[in-house]
Order: sequence, then structure tokens, then C-alpha cells
Amino acid sequence: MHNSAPAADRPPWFAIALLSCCALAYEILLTRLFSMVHWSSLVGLIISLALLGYGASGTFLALLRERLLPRFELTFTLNALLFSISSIAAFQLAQRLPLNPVELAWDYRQLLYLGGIYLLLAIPFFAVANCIGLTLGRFRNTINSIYAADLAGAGIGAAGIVGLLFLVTAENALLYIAIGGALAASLSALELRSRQRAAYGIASLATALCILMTPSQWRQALPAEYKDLSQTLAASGAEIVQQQSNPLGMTTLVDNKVAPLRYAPGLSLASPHSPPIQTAVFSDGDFAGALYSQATEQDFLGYLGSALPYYLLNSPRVLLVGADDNTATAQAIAMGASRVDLVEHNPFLIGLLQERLPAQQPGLTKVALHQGTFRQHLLAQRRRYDLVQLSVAGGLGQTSGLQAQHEDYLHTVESVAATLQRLHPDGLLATTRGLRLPPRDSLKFTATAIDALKRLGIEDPSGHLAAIRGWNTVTILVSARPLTAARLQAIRQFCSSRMFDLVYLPDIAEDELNRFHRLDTPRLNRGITTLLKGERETFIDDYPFNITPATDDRPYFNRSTRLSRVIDLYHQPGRTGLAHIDWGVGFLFIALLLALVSSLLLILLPLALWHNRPASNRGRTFTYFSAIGLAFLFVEIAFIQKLNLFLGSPFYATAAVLGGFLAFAGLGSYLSRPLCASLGIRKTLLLSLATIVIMGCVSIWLLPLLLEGLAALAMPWRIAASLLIQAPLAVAMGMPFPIGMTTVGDQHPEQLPWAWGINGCASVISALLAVLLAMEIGFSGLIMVAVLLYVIAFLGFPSTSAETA
Amino acid sequence: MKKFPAYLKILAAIVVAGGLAANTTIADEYAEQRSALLEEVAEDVADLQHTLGFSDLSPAIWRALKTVPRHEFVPPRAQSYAYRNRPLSIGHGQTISQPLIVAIMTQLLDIEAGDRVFELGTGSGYQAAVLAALGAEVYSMEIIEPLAGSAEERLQSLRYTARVRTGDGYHGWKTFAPFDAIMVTAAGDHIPLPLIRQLKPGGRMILPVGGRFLTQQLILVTKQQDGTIETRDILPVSFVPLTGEH
Repeated sequence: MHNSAPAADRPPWFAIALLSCCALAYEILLTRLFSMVHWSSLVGLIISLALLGYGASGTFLALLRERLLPRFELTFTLNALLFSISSIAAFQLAQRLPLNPVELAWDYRQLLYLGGIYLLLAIPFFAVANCIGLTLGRFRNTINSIYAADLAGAGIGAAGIVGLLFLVTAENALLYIAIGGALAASLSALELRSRQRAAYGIASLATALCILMTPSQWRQALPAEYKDLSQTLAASGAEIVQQQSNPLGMTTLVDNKVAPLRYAPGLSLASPHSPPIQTAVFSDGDFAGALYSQATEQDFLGYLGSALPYYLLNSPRVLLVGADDNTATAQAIAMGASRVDLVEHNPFLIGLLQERLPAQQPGLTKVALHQGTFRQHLLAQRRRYDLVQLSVAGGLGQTSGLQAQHEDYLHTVESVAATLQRLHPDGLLATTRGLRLPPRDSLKFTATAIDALKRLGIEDPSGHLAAIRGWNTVTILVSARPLTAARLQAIRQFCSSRMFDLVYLPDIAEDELNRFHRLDTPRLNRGITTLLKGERETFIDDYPFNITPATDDRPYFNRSTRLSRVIDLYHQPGRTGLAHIDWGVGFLFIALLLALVSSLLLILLPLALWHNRPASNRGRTFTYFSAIGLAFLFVEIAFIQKLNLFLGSPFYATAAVLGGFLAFAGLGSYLSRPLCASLGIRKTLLLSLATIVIMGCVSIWLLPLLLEGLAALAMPWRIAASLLIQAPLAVAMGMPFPIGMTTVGDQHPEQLPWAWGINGCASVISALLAVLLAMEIGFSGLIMVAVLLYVIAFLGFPSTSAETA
Repeated sequence: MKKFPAYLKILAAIVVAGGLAANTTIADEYAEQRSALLEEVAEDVADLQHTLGFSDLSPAIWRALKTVPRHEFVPPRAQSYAYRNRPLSIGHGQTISQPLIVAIMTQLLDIEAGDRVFELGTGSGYQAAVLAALGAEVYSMEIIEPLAGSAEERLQSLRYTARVRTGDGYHGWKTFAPFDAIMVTAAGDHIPLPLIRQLKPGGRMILPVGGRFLTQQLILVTKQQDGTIETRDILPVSFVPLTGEH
């Protein structure tokens, strides 16, 4: 027994659970807070890297284990308080670093700022990991229950923060998390029956009081200078008129009396009407669209590319989606829609749209606003439409591929096919996007629509598509029936009277191309024609950008850069090719590189200092813990995505999967000890492996069927169903870690913190690698890779004498 | 009058001469950097000739870019990067454009001495200075008040003739319209119709599309003599021919 060992011989389970709860809630909250400060594509990178604090903790404990274990209570308390203080301080300092990601390609100092942010944000996670890692080392006989408390707490934190953000602002949530850390410090002193519990209690109370007294500005997320909101507010006369935060984001409305917003994406140069003054809408500091007042000039709406389908349809029933503003609604009403359904997932925006519905027109029966996602709406509602507008041109897609790594379930083959099935026989599916040159997303959408039409049994889709373009937008129409001669004529008239160029019609002639807005070659027409009538597969394979149709299993519609082209783009004259790189994916690669280098250092450092100790089992320890660390998150991320469609919201999916997965894995961890005692280590591991392999494979086929079969259930039932689906797999996945740690702790206790660190590093790499892998092999492939990793882990199990437990 | 010792006079002379020499050296250094930058820009333009439609910068633009001191238009912390072929932050989330893009956009506007030019988005004033160095009558509008103020002062102190005003450039500058050329420093979601109206027949307007640091394409708008509008897309990137384009 160590000199000042705790009076209690039980680990501080509740303190561990509370800290894990706060740490996971903090991780999710940081995603929310930093989405307001920086681009969302960068946020995942920053936060995933910050989790390397777990890896650093493993190394730290491996090096100082002998010194820290005798001071367990003190070290635990100090680290809990460090988490409490640094959760606010690190956030505040990190957002002060002048990171400007758009300069990364030009200015290498930006990497230093990025590194600085990453180091600062790693501190709170490092502190929590120290508490858990040290407890695992101190109470080696109850590793399973400590890990169970850790996972259960994390599960509560994941689900709890989503609920909390509906009740309080993100800034206040940060305050509660910081206080939670201080509370965990005093809770540990009580649980450990520490002789100094009065002193630790006072220290915790003082910390909590200091946190409570911090100015609210210290917890406020301020958008970086490069964000759209900052730039808008820098203009003379700009003022915020309304702002609201919820788990889906911070929505800000800005008016400007000096230089008011006039939003009209792709307005024809032939328009005699200018757009009216509007209110700018920002989501997490990024421009999202514009709001019209109730009675406002709307004639210009007929001069947008997105107006085309209204010229082909009489009093259509319209379904709108992807509109962060009321442009599309105003357009539908102004253009004579008889009914308008709008799907929007943000309840705050629904309220805003409701307040500002444009003036009703004769013949309009109803405008119905639905909260939810488009796919969920298609599954839950049975109404048929004459027109579905998949998106308006908000943002115009000129964001240098920042959304490339984000899943998009709107523009997948399955989504387009489902939409076409919900149209009346002569109905139209329309999408208007920013014109990106060389063409990529417009070609990708065409390829996606072709696959969808083929799925519906249409062998020759060339008569079912039409495309036009303005100077900065492309509008593509897809019809379940071949377009009639009358419709083709109407499209021609629309284009010639409004200065839009024809891109593709089934009977288009060469001299109809490139009339108003001239390109050096009619690239888009060539591409669409080849996709419809030429060697489609070869064209897609050889095209310099990725235009492979997106599917629900690989829903990366916005990804366009091919890795093989990045060097070519980088070496373009004046580096002008940089604008054509998907920076979202680029940031992922940078993060992965940094994570690999950091992990290598963190894993190798203890090894270098153990040069005089026997090397037995280190290879197996490394293989085992890195494999299960990688595999756990692969499965978790794949499940989040698979259930995203089922639950109809990425936020519910994240909360349900993270919360459910972690809680069930905690149960598995807890059960691992009695199971090992009755079955033995090998058999328990084999049992968990068999469950993972069977459930992993089954889930690949089961989940899409569930999506179809149970989609009509009410939300609470769907959440319950998703928890049930995860349960067997998650329980089984909760076992390998505590079994491995117990075995290593028995045979090579000095390797315990090292194994803890390896697992932490692998988790960070896994989160980044999962997205990159999913882009290539899909989420089903990701689950298969995870299953394979569990098999490798089983084969590399660190025990040499298997039945020692 | 007090008489200073001779050694003090000599010392003072050395200090003054040293200071002047240092300034001259810095100025020479900047001039050298500017020439090197210009060579680089010219090479890039030559590489992009098939997409731009020209292979050389006009002598007038070459002269203008060679004389305008870009380092005076960037914040002190960025001066060491002033003659790199890259955009730079100038505060308030705004940038000074990449010299290559400035050169291409200016050449595409086909400015002649005496032309009346409207610029939407003054920024640091560098583009306005280049236009003024070409002999154009420059009218520039900036919505961010501090930027407009500092750009105006800078242009005055460097003796470039350009009128700068804080305000909403969406409506152009009616008092001095029509313009021979209009330069929009960042394209919005649509081209303001008042700007088209304020363009002279035969006039040209240029807009860069893309992020503030990364120009994806340039849009050249031409108003024909009969008032009709034509736009052309220019991609300042040298892509290999796309498969399927036969």
C-alpha cells in the first residue's frame, strides 16, 4: 500500500462518471461554440485533435506513474479542478488566436495558430484522462467498473448536452460543465473518504465560485474576422435585430439601413426589377439566406433560374427543401403555386418563416411548414407533388469545397429516386445550384439523377432531363416522364427572354449553346451529353473531378477533388488552383497527419524510456489497444450515419447513438468481469467477438430495412428502436477494453497508462480516418473494417497465459 | 546662435546620411522585390494565355504595377509579404487581392488614360492606385468606414488621384456615371442592375467569383453599343482538357 493511499478501497465511480459526462458534453459543446467562431469544417478537426489530450495523458502517466500514484487523491482533485478551470480558459484563449484558415495555403504561421488552438483545447481532456487513467492504475481489480462508470457518464453527457442546449445558451452550458468539473473534485474526496476532504471541498467550492464570477464575455463565442457575420457587421449601418441559439446552431438576423441586403441568387441581367431590401440570415455566423418582409416587391423572382419549373407547370403543388430563408417560398407563392410545403429542420427558422410568410396570392390554398428533414418527410407523408425544389442557390456553392466532408442525404441516388416517386406523373424535380467551373457538382447531380431514373426502370434517361445556366447558377430539371415538345419549347422561351443559356435539352442544337454567358467551351453541355449518351462510366472515371453519384452509403455529394489531382492544382500558375481544392477534406488530411505524428511521439516516448525493461508483450499490447480503439469509433460513426436517416436528424442521431452506445458499452464493461470469472478470458473475448462480427454484419443489411419499415413510427419509438438495435453490439464492444486492461494490469502494470494512451490516440485517428474511409468504401465498408480490426485485436490479445484471471 | 562643436556636426551628418541611405536601401529593396514579383506575374499570365486570351501584360499595366508601392497598402505586420504573389489580410475580414488577379482584372478592363472607372469595394486602395497610375479617373466606394478613411488618406499621401466615399456601392455613383469601366472586388449573388445601367455602351465590368482569398473565376461583363449585355467566364486556372470534350 502506498503511503498516502486513499482511506477507501473503492474507486471514485461517481466522480469518474461526472467527469466523463462533463468531458463528452464539453466536446460536443465545443463543436457548437467553435462552429460560431470558425468554419464548421475546421471545427471537427480542432476538436478531434484536442482529444489527443487522452493520448498525452497516457504518456504523462506512463512516465510519472510511480510519483503520482502515492498522491492519488491530490492528483485526482487537481486534475478535476484543472478541467474545471481550463474548460473556460482554454476556449477563451483558443478563440483569441488569429487563425484564418483561408490563409493556410499561403501562410504557414496559420499552422502554428492551429497547433496553438489544438494544444489549448487538449488541456481539459488531458486533465480528465489523467483522472481516469490514474484511477485505472490505482484500482486495477475494478477496471471493468471504472470503465463502465466512464462510459456511462460519457453516454449521459452526450445525450444530456443536446437536451441542455434546448434549455440554455451554449455560453451557460459551458458554465455548468466547468462547475461540474469542480463538483467532481469534491465528490472524489467524499467517495475516497479522504482525510483532506475538507480542504479539497473548499478548493472545489472556491473554484466553482471563481467560475461563477467570470464575466459572461469569457464564455461567449465571437465569430472570427473572416466569417460572413463579422464582415457584414463591419459594414456601416449593420445591426443585429434578432439572435437565437439552439443545438442546431446560432441563428442571427441582421439589418442594414445604409447598405441593405438585396439577395437574388443568379438574377438575370435581363431583369427590369431589382430585389427589395431584405434581412440577412446567418447560421453560426455563415450567410444562410434572406428574409423578405410580408408585403414586398417580388417581380424579380421570375427572373431567377429557379423560376424555370413554374413556367412549365400550372398551379403546382410544391415541396421546398434546403431553404434557410423565404426566397423559395416567396417565389413559389409569387409564381402561382396552389400549395406549398416547406421542410426545415431548425424550429427557430420555422417560426421566423411562419412570421414572415409572403403575401398570399389568389389560388393558393395553403402554406405548410414542416419541421424535420426532407427524407423523413418523404417517408412520413404520402402527399404527391407537381414540383419538388431540392435546393435554392443559397450560398451559391462558392465555398471552396468546405462542405466536402459533410454527409448530404438530399442529393443521393436514393433521395432523388424517392423524390421522383412522390411526383405526379408530369411532375418535376428541380435543383438550382451555383455554377462551379470546371463543372463538377452539376455533373455529379446529373449522374445521380441518371442512376435514380435507371433504378426506376427508365433505361434511356436522355429525354427526362433539361438544364439551363445563368452567369452564376445552373438549374437542372428531372422528370419521371420524357419532357414533351411543348415543355422544351417553353424552356427555350424562358431562356431567350431572360438571358439564360440552354445547357441541355434532349433535342438541343449546337448553335443554341453559349449565347449570353460565354464559356471558352460549352463544358457543361459536353459533360451532361456524355453522361446521358456517351461512355458514362469511362467519363466519370476519367473526369478530373469526382462526379461519381452519391449514395446513402457514401453520401458525399459535395466532394469533388480527386486526390491524384491535388498536386496539379497546387502547382497551377499563381497557385490559382487552390480555389478548386475541397478544403474540407484538406483539413481532414492535415488533422490526420498531425494526429499520426503526435500519436507516434506519444506512443514512442514511453518506449524510449523503457529501454532497460523487458520488452515482453509490447507489440501485442500495441496491436490490441490500437485495433479496438480504431474499431470502436468506426462502428460508432457508421451507426450515427446509418441512424441519421432513420431518426430524421443528425443531432438526435448523434445523441441517441453516442448516448446509447456508450451506456451499453458501459454495461458490457461492467459485465465483462463476472463473465470472465465464469467463462474465462478467452471465451468471454470470443463471445464478444462473435457478437460483434454477427451484429456488425447483420446491421449492414438490417438498418436500411429498418429505415423503410419503422420510419412511420413516432420519434420516441424510433429512438427506442435505435437503442435496441445498438444494444447487443455496444454491450459486446464494451468488453474488450476492460478485459485487455485487466490482463495488462496483472502482467505488466507499467504498461497500463501506455495502453490507455494508445487507445486514446487510436480513437482520435479513428474519428478522422472514419470519414476519409467512408468516402471511399462507404459506411457499410467501414463497419466491415471495424469487424476485421476486432478479429485482429482478438488475435493480438496481450495475454500469454490466457486463463490467468 | 550657439555654435556646435565640429565633431557633433560630423556625427549628425553621419546619422542623417545613414538614415537616408537606409531609406534608400529599403526603397531599392522594395523596388527590386516589385520587379521580381512582376516577372513572376508575367510568367503566370503567359502560362494562362489559352484561358485568358492574352499572353503578355500591356506596357501601361506593367508600368503601373511597377510603380505602385504595394507595401504601403498592407498593414505593417504584412509588409514583408507585400511582394509575394499572394493575397493578404488588411483587417476587418478584407483582403488585398493577389497581384496576378489584380493584373488580369485590370488588363481585362482595357483601361485607357482618361477613362472614368467605378470601383465597388476600395479595401486598402491598392487597386484604385493601380487604376489611377494608368491615368484613369477613379471613383471608389467602400462600405467599411475605417477602411474607406484609411484608403483615402493613403491614396492622397501617395498622390494618387482617386475619389473615395463610404457608402453602399450597390447603386453605383450616379453623380459621376456613366463609367467606361467598373471593377467589383468581390461578386455577390447577383450583379447589381444599377451598375449595368451606369456602364457606358462599350464599357466593361469585371467581377471575381469565389472566396476572398481564393479566386475561382472571373466574370467579364460587356455592354455592347446597342445596350445589350454579354458576359464571359474566365477561369484563371490551367486545367488539362476535360475528358469527353472532343
